[in-house]
Amino acid sequence: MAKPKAGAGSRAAARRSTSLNTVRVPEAIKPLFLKAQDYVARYFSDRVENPEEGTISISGERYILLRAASMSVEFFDLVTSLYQHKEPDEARGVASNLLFDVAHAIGKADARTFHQRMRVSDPIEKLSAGPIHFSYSGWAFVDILPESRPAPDESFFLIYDHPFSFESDAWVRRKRTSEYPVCVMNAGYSSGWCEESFGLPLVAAEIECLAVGGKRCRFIMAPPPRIEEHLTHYSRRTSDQRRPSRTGLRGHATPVSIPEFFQRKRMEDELRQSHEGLEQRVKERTTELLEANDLLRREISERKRAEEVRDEFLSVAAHELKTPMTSLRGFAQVLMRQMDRDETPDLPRLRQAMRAIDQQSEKLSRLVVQLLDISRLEAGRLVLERKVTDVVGIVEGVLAGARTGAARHLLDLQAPSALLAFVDPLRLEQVITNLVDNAVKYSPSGGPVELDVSKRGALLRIAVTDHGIGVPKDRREQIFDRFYQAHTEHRLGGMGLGLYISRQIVELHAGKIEAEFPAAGGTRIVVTLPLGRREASAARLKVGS
Amino acid sequence: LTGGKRILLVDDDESIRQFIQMALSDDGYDVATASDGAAALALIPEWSPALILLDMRMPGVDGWAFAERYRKTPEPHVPVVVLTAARDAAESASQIAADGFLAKPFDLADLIRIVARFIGR
Repeated sequence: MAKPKAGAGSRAAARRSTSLNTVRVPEAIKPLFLKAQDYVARYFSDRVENPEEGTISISGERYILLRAASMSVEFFDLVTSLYQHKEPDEARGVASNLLFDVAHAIGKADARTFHQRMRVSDPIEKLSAGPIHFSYSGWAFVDILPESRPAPDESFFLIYDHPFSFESDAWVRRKRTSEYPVCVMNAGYSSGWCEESFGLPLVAAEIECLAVGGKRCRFIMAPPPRIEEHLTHYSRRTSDQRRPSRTGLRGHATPVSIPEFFQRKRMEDELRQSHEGLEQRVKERTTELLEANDLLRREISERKRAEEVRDEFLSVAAHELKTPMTSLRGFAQVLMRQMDRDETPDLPRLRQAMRAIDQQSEKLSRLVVQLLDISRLEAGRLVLERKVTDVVGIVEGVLAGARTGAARHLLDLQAPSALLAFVDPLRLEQVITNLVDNAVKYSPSGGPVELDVSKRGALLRIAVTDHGIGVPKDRREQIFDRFYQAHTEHRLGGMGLGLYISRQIVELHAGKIEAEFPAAGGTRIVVTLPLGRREASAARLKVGS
Repeated sequence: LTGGKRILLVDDDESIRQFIQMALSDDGYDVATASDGAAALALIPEWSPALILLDMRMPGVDGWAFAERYRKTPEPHVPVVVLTAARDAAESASQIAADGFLAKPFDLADLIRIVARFIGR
């Protein structure tokens, strides 16, 4: 078919405006193909065969000639004979997959080279040279049917025929028929070229083949995930006229095989996706596990901390209980030893011992009461017995008791002559006693302790202020916590229950207990309670005052 | 008198100091008292006791701190007997390598006995 160099260009140029005869395409895209036809014609017109060197060059590009049948029917026969001991389907599979892969790779490579030569970037323009190059290189003619939709996305769909396919032709010439479509390289090459042009994976399947007895060699090309859908659609469209086939694709005269190359690719994609999904799930699970682990660790450390706190409390409680017991027992035994020696303890010693026993047993009973309160509170069994009570009277009583034991402190009360509230008098007394005890305890160098009792609307306010050691900033939040002692290092005694129990009692009264730390130092604990029972005061304030 | 019967009692609880001093005095010992470790360390050179009875939990310089500082003072060091209300008195005693211990509350006879063991009359 080598044409003389001279004149080829002008002839091609003449054809350009007249007709598109090296490919058939839908009307709309014809102009582009005319341009390509011109280009490819000129390209192939520059052909130099030089058997003395063993080269064939087209526009300076080396080409090789292959005998078509050797890559088709003869190749299948050869592979089948090599696979004699195996199933014929396996031989066919090996041969067609190999041919498809080779052709697909050639198609991609040819396309890339042509795109560079032609300097084109539009996908359709890139595609346009393919079918013409195809014709010129003797593979087949290309007839793209009008329902094709060559778009550079998932919707890409091409339906086309390959008249004069070198592959089916080889079978027909030998008067051979095949059970399966044979135009494997055609499918591989065209899908390779288009894949390169559109930049998306494409697969082509032959749906009708002359070698199988069809009227033509027809192909469908689409992105791998969509190919089966198109095949099914096509088979439904044609099923009325056609007999059902033996393959999974219903209604096909021609059994269709989707090249394994793409099935493999699709499987790889699916694998990769499922792998990515798996990785994602693993990541999620790992995160979940880490979170659960974290939660557990936090819970464990909280529980551990709670255990440590409880343990520390038991140590403190044991110490606090054993100390007065030691004195009680000690004084009793000192006296007994003396009496056992038939001596009579003198009066000062007796008085000292008895006073100690009295004080220590009182201390002990206070501790025991606290422990009982704690267990009642934990069990939710601390119940108030409220009655209309003069709060000022209670406060005065507490102060009188405290004054005897706090010689170095100046206890001062600011209060109306009476203030009635609906409260549990014993429990409120317990709270005030605790607050006053704390004020004295935590101002070890003495000084004033101020009590302020007042009515604020429907609320009763009791404030106890000392000028003592205060509470370090970082411990202020915890002072109302169970077992908490802000000043363990001072070993001022106590079990860390006083403020906790006070808070519980105040809260049972629907009140609030808060700590304030005046800039000048010291601590102020403020209790506010609803006066309750219709402002207890209202009816009886006159009587009280 | 070289301090052979002198005892230094260190305890932050006043009531406990009172009865121990009373009981040991009845038995012929001379007892000086201190309410914490610092006061005790200050008293030692002047009182030069033959035995120290030491409470552990005290404000300021507690039993542990006292023992540490006491070991650093010039020799001789006299026996230290721990009197503690801690849950594990033996543990407290071993922590400071004390010579003996007594768990509070104790039997007075036990106190007398242990004191006699170290500085018997």
